[in-house]
Amino acid sequence: MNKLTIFGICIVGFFIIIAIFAPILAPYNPGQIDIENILTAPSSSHIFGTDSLGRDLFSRMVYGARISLMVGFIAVGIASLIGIALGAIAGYYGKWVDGIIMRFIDIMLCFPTFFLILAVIALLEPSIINIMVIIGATSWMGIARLMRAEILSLKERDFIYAERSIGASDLRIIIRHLIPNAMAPVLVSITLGIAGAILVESSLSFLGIGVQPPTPSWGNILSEGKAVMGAGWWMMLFPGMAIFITVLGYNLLGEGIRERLLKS
Amino acid sequence: MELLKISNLYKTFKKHKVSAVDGASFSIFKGEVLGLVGESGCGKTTLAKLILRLIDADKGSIFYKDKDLLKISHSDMRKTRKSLQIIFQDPYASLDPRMRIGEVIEEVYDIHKDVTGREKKNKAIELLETVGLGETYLQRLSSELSGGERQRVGIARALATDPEFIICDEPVSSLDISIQAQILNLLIDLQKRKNLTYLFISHDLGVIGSICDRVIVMQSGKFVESGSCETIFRNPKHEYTKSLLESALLS
Amino acid sequence: MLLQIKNLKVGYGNIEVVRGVDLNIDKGECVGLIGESGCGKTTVGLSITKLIPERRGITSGEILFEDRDILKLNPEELRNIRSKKISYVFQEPFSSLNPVFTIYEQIKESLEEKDNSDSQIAEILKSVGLEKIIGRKNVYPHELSGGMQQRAMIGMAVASKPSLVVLDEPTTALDVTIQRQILELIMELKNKMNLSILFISHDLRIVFSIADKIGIMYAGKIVEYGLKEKIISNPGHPYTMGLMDSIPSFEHRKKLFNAIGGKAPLFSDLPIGCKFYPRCKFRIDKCLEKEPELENVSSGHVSRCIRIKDMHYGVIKNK
Repeated sequence: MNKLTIFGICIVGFFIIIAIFAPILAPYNPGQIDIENILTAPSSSHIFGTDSLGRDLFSRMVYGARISLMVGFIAVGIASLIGIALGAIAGYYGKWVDGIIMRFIDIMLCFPTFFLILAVIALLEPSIINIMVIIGATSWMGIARLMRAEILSLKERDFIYAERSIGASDLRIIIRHLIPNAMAPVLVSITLGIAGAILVESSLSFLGIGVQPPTPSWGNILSEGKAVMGAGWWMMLFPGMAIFITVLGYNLLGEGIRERLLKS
Repeated sequence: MELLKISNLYKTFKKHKVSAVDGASFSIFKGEVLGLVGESGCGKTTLAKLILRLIDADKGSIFYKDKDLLKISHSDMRKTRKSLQIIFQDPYASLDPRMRIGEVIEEVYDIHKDVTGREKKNKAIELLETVGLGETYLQRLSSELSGGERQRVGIARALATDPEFIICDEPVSSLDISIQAQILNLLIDLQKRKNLTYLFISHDLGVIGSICDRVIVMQSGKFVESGSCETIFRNPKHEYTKSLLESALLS
Repeated sequence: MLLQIKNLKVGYGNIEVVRGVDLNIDKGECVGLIGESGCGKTTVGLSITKLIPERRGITSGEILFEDRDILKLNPEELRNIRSKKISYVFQEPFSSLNPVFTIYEQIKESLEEKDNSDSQIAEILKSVGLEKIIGRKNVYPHELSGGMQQRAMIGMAVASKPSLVVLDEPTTALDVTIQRQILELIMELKNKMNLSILFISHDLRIVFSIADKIGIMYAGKIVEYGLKEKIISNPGHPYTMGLMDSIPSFEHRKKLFNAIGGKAPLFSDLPIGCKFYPRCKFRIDKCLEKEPELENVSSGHVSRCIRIKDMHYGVIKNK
């Protein structure tokens, strides 16, 4: 394994641990307003400083990690389910089934995804669940295409003919033999997808139509920071860094998985 | 006794616009080893897959015990598959690389639900021993096995449903010669002991000559000559058969 | 002597895959190297011009080509030998030919003198039986069948008028009728150009039909070497006998083969003593003491087996 991959794993692991142990790690309640300490610079009592309502920024960042990662994982989870299922069905059955699914993918790809998300969020209320679902529902096409391509080549392999000759059903062949063997490139795409989903969530929250305050997410902390940019540099620096490092971590991990799985 | 009767089987691949199988008619008799010899691309593997309905034929009929395999329902076909099995050429491609050997064989029983629990494992061990591998192989991954060992697993899997007919599709052509002889020995021995019927496909006339009772010679999707192994080797009629024999360096 | 390989050892990490091979090839001679997959035969062929992948290294030995040690040449001299003196033909013609260049361009690459190249190329194409594409300068490899591609490869190999051609399984990917034609072509060129050939194959029948001398490799060493006729009439090693008994044929009908049991050992886990001991039908305890040296069976015929005497005259006593 190369050093960059290990670095990626460390980053990803670090933020997952922070998200899991948020209640233990956060020194303050992230929603606790403290009028006496508005916009104080980082110090020993507030290591990341406080925000414009006097809330402890470190605590908010730690809880924000929970939201950002949750959105990343669940959104990509939804995308993977849709993508793997549709890709596998299209690849295995071929013919008109493949035609319909592929045309549907083409149509989905024609929409500028981000504006589609903006439009849908404008219609629905911007709750965390809605955001996860809408990100998931608009980002599965790449996974589906990869899955389909893998299955197209796998299904001509002898071991799949062998399965059919011992009487295995289509469902069994797809779920037990085709999908697991096709997962390597899909896994890379999924890992990179998590980075993408975290970015989309941050962007939405930054624009004010993502995760709604007072629930902290890195995006909306950054957005609040924008308003006080001159007075509180730490309000933009820390969430910005967190987003940057996390996305970098997932990208490095994705590359590492690609190198390892696709070589063999 | 006629075990399989194939009539006027056709298959054209639209993409390549070639007739892979161009009107094949023949019978396979119970207990015989029927050889099918031809060069690459002559349609012999396609024919094998057509017979087991692993790909769909354009037209024709395949009668197995009064049932036309091309006409029966999918669920009927899945039951019939128990009696008709296939061994593939490339032992590296014919086993799911992620599965353990035990799983490969036990899966056959899972699918047909006729053996369960402990009995399944015992059956798997018995089969592995039949093909010259032991219990120790149950937990091994196919990727850890040599070509010859994998081919033995492929044979064990084919035997798991207790079939009466097995298509051997170039079962030894990707193996080293010393391993090739071992596998041919195993196939000859199994055929005699279980009174199996083989359709034995190969491009190698040496292999065909050493194992078959009757031979069909195939060229570009068509049968050019067929007869007893004796006649084909000693007294070939068709020019193509003659040129194959001349080229085969059999001396 | 054109080529002398002396005690060649090639390692891969800590593992030796060629464990001391000696091989001589005379001018105009065809030496066949037989072995099963993974025995090191391809590595021997590639080592001759140091074509082995970087991770593998030649750890010791000499390769004397026209009395100069190839292993001591500088890169410039080595390139010179590769381009003019020694050429290769591999198993897969399609992956050996560059798909984006025409056959004409690729043969031209191999020519020694580029003047008047068209007539030279035409002559080469004619000599390898590709009269059909003479003058057709825009023919790409994918437009040719496998057999014709291999003919083109052979054309490229002989274009520089080399003295040695290494053929590594050149007919394995081809159909039998084409295989026969390619072998005939190789023989014809060999006689016409007085070529020396190292013919590497797993297929005894092919090597028997083409080689003058034969070496049989097992687990990284040559276990038997000699004139073809001597080996065929009187094999001197149990492995060779096993291989010959494993050749399927019509004469052998419906009988079980006298096959070699077991499988080849891994280089990382070689048995002690004779490397063939675990699979050998004629083994005795003495075989475990040390790996046998090559000993004379008769003149010009050597074998790495201490039971040569017992096997001679066709009498083989089991243990």
